[in-house]
Order: sequence, then C-alpha cells, then structure tokens
Amino acid sequence: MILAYHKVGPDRKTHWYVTADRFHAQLAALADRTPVYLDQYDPQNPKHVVISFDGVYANLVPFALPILKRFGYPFELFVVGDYLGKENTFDQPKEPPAHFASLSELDTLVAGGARIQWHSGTHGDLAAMNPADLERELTVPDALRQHFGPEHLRWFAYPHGRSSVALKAAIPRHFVGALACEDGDPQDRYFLPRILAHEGTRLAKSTVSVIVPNYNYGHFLEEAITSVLAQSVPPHEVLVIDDASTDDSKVVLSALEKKHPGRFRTLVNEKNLGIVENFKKAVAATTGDYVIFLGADNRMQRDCVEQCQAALDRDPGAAVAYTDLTIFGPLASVLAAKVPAEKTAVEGVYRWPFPDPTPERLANLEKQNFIHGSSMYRRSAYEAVSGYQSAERAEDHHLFLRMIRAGHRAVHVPQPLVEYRQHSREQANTALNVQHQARFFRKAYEEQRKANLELQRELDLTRHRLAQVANVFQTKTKLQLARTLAVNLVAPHRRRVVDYLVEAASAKLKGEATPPLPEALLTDDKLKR
Amino acid sequence: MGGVQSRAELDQFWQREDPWGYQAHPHDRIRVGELLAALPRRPYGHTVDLGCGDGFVTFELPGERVTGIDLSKEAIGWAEKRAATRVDRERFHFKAASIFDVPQLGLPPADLIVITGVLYPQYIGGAFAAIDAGLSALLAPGGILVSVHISDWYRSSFSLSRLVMHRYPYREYEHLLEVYQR
Repeated sequence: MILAYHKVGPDRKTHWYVTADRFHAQLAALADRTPVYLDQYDPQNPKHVVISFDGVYANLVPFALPILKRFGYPFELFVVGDYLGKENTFDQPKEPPAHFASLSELDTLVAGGARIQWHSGTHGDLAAMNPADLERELTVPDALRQHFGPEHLRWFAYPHGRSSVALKAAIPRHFVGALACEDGDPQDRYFLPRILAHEGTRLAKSTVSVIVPNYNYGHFLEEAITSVLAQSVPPHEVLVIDDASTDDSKVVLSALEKKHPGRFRTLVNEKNLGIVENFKKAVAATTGDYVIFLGADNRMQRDCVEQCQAALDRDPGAAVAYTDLTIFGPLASVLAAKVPAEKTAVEGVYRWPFPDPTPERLANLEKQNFIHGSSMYRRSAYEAVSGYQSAERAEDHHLFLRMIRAGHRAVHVPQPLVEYRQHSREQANTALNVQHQARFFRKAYEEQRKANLELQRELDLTRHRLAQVANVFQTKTKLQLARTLAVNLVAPHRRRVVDYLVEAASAKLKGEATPPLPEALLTDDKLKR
Repeated sequence: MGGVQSRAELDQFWQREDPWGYQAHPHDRIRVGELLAALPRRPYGHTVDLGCGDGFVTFELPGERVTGIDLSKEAIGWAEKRAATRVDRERFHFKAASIFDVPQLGLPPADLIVITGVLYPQYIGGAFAAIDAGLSALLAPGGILVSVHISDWYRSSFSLSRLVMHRYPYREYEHLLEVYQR
C-alpha cells in the first residue's frame, strides 16, 4: 500500500487537507505494518506501506514532521521542481494559497527521515506535451541531484495521476519507478497504485470499545470520560454504563452529554446488577474488536487506547494487553508501599511498573495477578472463554486467567497509561465528594449566570456563599440539594433555592438543625424525581 | 488560517499594555501561586514558557535559562520591556513564534515546559497531535510539563505520564492545571 498525502494543517480548507490529529491517527493505525522507502517497497508484501506526499507543501514542517518523527517512519516527498519555495499559483483559485517547501525546508524534512522524489517541473498536463517539453519536465536539475545525493530523486509521481503511452515510455530513462493514483497496477513498477489519503480515510484494521462502568462515582465521572474523549486515537465507541447509582451520576452524565454531544453512549440499569452481570451486559452492548474497561474513578493517559490497540494489532496471538499504572489519590502511598511502586516527580503520586509476561509468571498467574482490570482484551478471546463469570476471585483476574489457560498470550505495554485512583468508599462519600460537589454547584451556577444577564447582580452576591454552603452540609442533604439545584437552576425556584441554601448554611454554622425544604420546592413536580 | 485565529488579530489585541488585566485581578495572582505550588521541587536548567504573553507568569518561573514564546510580536515587545528592568534579566529570552514552529527553533532540551491558555480550538484547530509530538520531543527525559487552561474550553491532554489534575476557580471560569512527566 502506498499512501498519497498533500497538505496537513490545523483545519481542512479543502479535501486535499488532512488535519494533524487525523494524520496522527492514520499513522498510528500502521502499527502492525512496516513503513518503508520506495526503494525497499515490495507491492506483494501486505505489510509494506509507503507514506508519500505530493507538492511538497511547507505546512508539512510544522504539522506533519513532528508526528512522522514520533513514529520514526520513513516518507517520500514528490516535489514540483520549478515551484520550490513558491506559491501554488497553478492550483489557484481552486485551492487556497499555499506555499511549497523551500530547499532549506526540504533539508529539514530530509533530516527527519524524508527522501526527495520528482513530481515534474511545473505540474502541467504531461500527457498533452510535445517530446521536448516532456523531456524538460522529467529532467531533474543536476544542482538538485547533487544537493540531495544518490538516494534521492529516483522515483516519479504522475501529475494529476495522468499518464500516456509516450509519457510512460519516457519515464525509465529518468527514474527507477513511478506512482499513479487509485487506477495504478501493482504489477507495473512504472504505474504503481496509490491510495489518496483524506480526512476520513480509515487505515485501522481493528476497532476499540471503551467501557466506563459507574456506580456512585458521579464526582469522578467527568475526569474519567474526558480522559477517554481526549485519546490520541479516538475509540470506535465509548459506552458509560451506570449500575443504578443513587448519587448525582445521572445529572453529571447529562451535563457531559450536553458538552460532548454524540461522543459517548449511556446505559442506565434500572436495578443494580452487580459487577459481573453489569460487565457482561456492557460487553454485549458494544461491538469493538477490542474492549477496555476504565473504572469511573480512574483516568486514561492520552495514548492509552493507541498503545494498547497497537500492541494487540502487532500480536494476533495475544488476547490481552496490560500497561503500567500511575497511582494517585489520598491512599496512593498505602498501595505504593505494598506493591511496591516507584516515586514520581510529584509527592504522593507513584508509578507502578508491571512485569513482563514470562512463562513462569504466567504459570503463577492464578496466585499472583499482574494483568489489571483496565487491560485491553480481544473480544474473540472473551467469547471463546465465555466472558465474565461469577467466581471467588476478582472477575477480571478470573477472565484473564481463563484466556491464558486457553493458550492465548498477554503483552505488556511498559508505560503508565492508566491513572489509578486510590481512595476509600468512605472518603469518596465525605471529604472528596463534598469538594467535587462544590465544583459541580459552582459550574451549574456559572452556566445559569451567563444565561440570565438580568439577574447577574443578585447571583454575584450569593456566589461565594453558595460555595461555602456546599462544604457544611451532611452528605444526605447535599445529594438532595445537588439534584434540586441541577433541576432548578433553570426554573423559577432558583431564587428560593439560593435563599434556602444560605439559610441552611447559617443554621449549620450555628449548630442548629437543617431547616426543611420550602413548600414550593417540595410540591414542584420536577423536583420529586 | 481559516478557522484558526491569526497572528494579526492577536497583535491587534496586544497593542495596549496588559490587555487581559492580569495586574489588577486577584485571581491572576492566585493562578501564579497555584502554578508555582504545583511545580516539583527540583533544579531546572532550561524552562520554556509557551503563550508567555507579556511575561506575567514567565518572570516567576524557576530555571537557569527561561525562554518565553508567544505568537504575538506585540506581546513579546512588552515582555522584553519588562525584562529589561530586572536584575536577573540575563535569565530571560523571548521569542515571537507559533507553537507549531517551536520544534524548529533549535531550543536546547527543556527540563520544564509551562503552557498556559494556548490549547484552545481557536488557536490550534485540529492540530494538537503536532504540538503533543513536538513538545514531548523538546522535553528532556524526566522533564516536567505543566498545562494550565480554562477547563470548559480545553479538550487536549499530553502523551506523557500525567501526575496531577487540579482545579481551582479562575475569574468566572475554572482552571484545570495538569502536571506531566516524561
């Protein structure tokens, strides 16, 4: 496969542009293939990929080169010789103005792994030219050959992908091979096919489902979900499954859905199913070739999906890819001392390195688990061992153990790609929860403030008092209030709610009993839910 | 630059001194305090401050050598003016450049990168991946990257080990402060 790119940038001005974010995702999808230079390319080898660019546009330096260097991939640049460092006048006004790379920019690209090739002198219609003009178009100036050296300027790409009998006959006198567009022929070294890469081009062979199971972690959900939505390679689907939470999870979820429309799906269980049934239901509700669970109190590093997917793509015999962990949170030091984990630059945050899956360790997996619950696994292996089952040991440990016993391999990705929060249930329901609720109040409050300019003054006065309120309530009252606030900030009762909160806060500070909710709030239908 | 905010617009904005009113707003003193408190205690050789504006944060940062970079030439003009009055002015170097051109500036490896208020869609469009790759390569092994952004407008995160996510109120918004280590 030979890929043909043109322009890479921050936005798509025309369909010849690919954004840098998509370009990254497309290169990441090549993990199981071998990017090569054209000189090494074997069209019959399904693993071989050539990354080529036509133009060559100066925007490759800021927007494509850092990404190509990160992957360490070789790439080929087909230059239009008369236009080095100039504007794309021959493409205007169809295309917006863009600069071709200058000689020094080409040098920068070569230093980053590029080889320079030839895309004609003027990018004209070569098939219609007389022999003398054609010869000029195909002749690389000696100065350019000397500048780049013998590894470069050996291959040709047809302008507009168009060829003719005369043109094709002339190519072998100048070049060792030539590239066409989609209509090329893999058997013809002077007319090899290329795939035009666009923003929507999908090169990945596998799909990933990320599942975020939640039970009463409303206050952590935002960090978990946004960490999934910020992945360098967006997963095929993201499912949040709520196992009948009794906290404010639903309110948080609907706020997140509003902020990231269409980016994730939510399933809410009417009754609490427990871990095993809930996990089974979630896997059955998704379709990705690979599945990864992220606890709603944890987070993913940006390249978690990318690295785990690449590890499974590279090793078809591996059923599961596990990473190292970053451990954080109020109880991180307790776990760190036990496992043991390494210190990081930040006090109280640790890196928990996991061992490689040696035969001895795999044989001992039953006693000593090292494949954690946020490992990415292959759906086919999951189905082959009949999925999650009720057992004495943890459901994920049990699942991975059965996969390994069935003869599948595990692969270790030695980077802390999952951020694992250490906290106790009790803490979750007290101090931290209050802190997060205060945040939630504050955010909800701010949204409303913006939407109601005429009431801004009144709201400004009570804002700081509201933040204090969140800190002094008992959990139970607070949860009730969270719901009240969320529903009510857009309703006519807002003023009453704020008054009530202030009244309740001062009662609390004086050590008096919390006053009952005002009648008007209790009788409002929306609040009864 | 299509949907992406241009240098000319920013320069227009930076015509006047302190256009965001950092000097007067108490929350801007607080955010500098939050940033400094979040920095791991260790010596820093080279520090890079991206989106440095007039140097409001830059001058507070540790580092034997501190490079401040902003897209706006006008902003860099203010920063240089402020640097000139300082006894430690030798520490500071300012440069007007796009964040996308940072890998080509030939900077020495950075022990600390601070990036404040830059990674918003109107500045970077769909090209965060280029920034992620470029800055990760600029960071020395073990180096620290701190990102500070208004949480509602920020959609990015770095391919580095994230050690801290911390939120605090900033003006009518909320700031998200992240600490990463390479």
